[in-house]
Amino acid sequence: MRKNILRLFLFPLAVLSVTILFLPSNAYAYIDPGAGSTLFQLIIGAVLGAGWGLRVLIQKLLQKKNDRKKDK
Amino acid sequence: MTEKKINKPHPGSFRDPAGRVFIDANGKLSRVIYETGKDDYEFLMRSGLYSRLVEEGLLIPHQEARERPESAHKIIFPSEVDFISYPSEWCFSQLKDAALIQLKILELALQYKMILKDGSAYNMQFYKGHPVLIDTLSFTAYTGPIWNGYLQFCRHFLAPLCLMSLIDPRLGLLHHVFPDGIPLDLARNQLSFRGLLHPGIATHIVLHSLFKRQNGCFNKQHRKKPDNLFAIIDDLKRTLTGLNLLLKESDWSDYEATETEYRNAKSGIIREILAMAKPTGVWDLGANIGSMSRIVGDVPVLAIDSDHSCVEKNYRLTRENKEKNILPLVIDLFALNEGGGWQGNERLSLFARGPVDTVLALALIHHLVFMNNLPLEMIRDFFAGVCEKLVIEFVPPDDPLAEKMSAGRTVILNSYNERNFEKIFSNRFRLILKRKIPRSNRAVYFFQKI
Repeated sequence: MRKNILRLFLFPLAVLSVTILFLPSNAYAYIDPGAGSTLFQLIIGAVLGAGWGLRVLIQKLLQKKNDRKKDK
Repeated sequence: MTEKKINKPHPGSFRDPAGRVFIDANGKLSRVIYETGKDDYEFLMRSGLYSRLVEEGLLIPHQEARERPESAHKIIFPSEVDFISYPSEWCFSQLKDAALIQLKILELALQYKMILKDGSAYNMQFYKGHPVLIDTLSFTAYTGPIWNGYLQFCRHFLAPLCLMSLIDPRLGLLHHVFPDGIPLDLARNQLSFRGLLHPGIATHIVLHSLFKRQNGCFNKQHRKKPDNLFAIIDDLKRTLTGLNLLLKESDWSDYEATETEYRNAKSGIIREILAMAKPTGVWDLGANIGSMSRIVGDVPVLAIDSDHSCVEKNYRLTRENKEKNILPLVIDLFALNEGGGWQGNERLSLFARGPVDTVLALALIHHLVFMNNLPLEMIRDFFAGVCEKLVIEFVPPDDPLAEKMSAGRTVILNSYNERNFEKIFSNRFRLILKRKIPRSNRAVYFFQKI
């Protein structure tokens, strides 16, 4: 429940605060498919990548802890 | 090695400079790979990615031609898909499955240091009952750090799925109006407050839609590891997995639960006729949830209905039963997508994707006549244009459902009767068999085109 609330509110807020400097005054039509929303993807990739990396690290630590318990 | 002269490419195949599609006089499809696509193609084949994707049923397999083409690198012959279909014809679950498969392919490609050039729903087709990538030339070496197809993926898959799940599944038809996917600002406006309730939608649709147009591709290499891209893919997968469609009962999706005695009797007659007809392919028009499609046997069956709930139920059944030969599609015979794209050549009309050996038109004719004022002659000519054998159920005007539909339509009722039906259809079809359905006043006809 707490995790969902965090994800629901804090995550978009984090992305918004990082990207606020890049927001245009008008929202134009899109880039051609080949160009790929470059800037947005770089920013979102960095934010999501950090979260993903943290999740992977936590999973590895928990796995090590479980392995140690099994050895005992 | 002899060199093969290349004929003209298909007019609808021009977007990828790495190769083009050709269809010969016998309808056989091939792809010519030009020198510009040579390195990526050879990398795909040598790296082991092609074998892995084909083994897992994710990419359409192909054979290479022995002859070397003139002024090109290679010719390949992809395995043929029974029926080409388009995203506007897919129900919610079909589009969602295609999206998740494309992300799975993207993840696997990155493991082999390749990436998809785009994120197009038109690169997916239903092959043996499940979505596969058909664009073998869609792979390129990964040089980092981004995926050029990310925006296209959001427009082609995520935006329509959000609209279908959170507002109305019929909004999937917008794919026909926007061939390059739903614009994200349109999706954002339609979703309104709903877009902010889901973190994934808030990110990939709402926030994404606020960014300014950028021109050109990103060519600068920042780093080679795709960790951030894996994180984006993971988030897209979670977002898609969280989108669901509650099956609401429509006027027709519960229809087959009624009148089981009539249905059982009709099934027996259809089995008898199919044993005589021995179809090599079937279009089941007005298929509902596919009960009759399922007694056809092991030949390709296209199960068409205009009701999204029926097609959604039918597709979920094919998935549950692991049926490889039935393809349910949302198609309204009165709103056919006639061609599409540049000069109308990029997408095929229903007629261009036929004809088929046998059509089942069961409990359909009264809809065509009473809901759409279609004369019997035009119905006959339509069927004659799409099939060799026709299995059609005549619903007489005193049938309870026909009576409801025909209320007040006295002019049409004057010409709509069994005798007139038989006379009109005999101009283009020869009657092989007629069977009255017990416990009803309906009859099933088996016709052969003259």
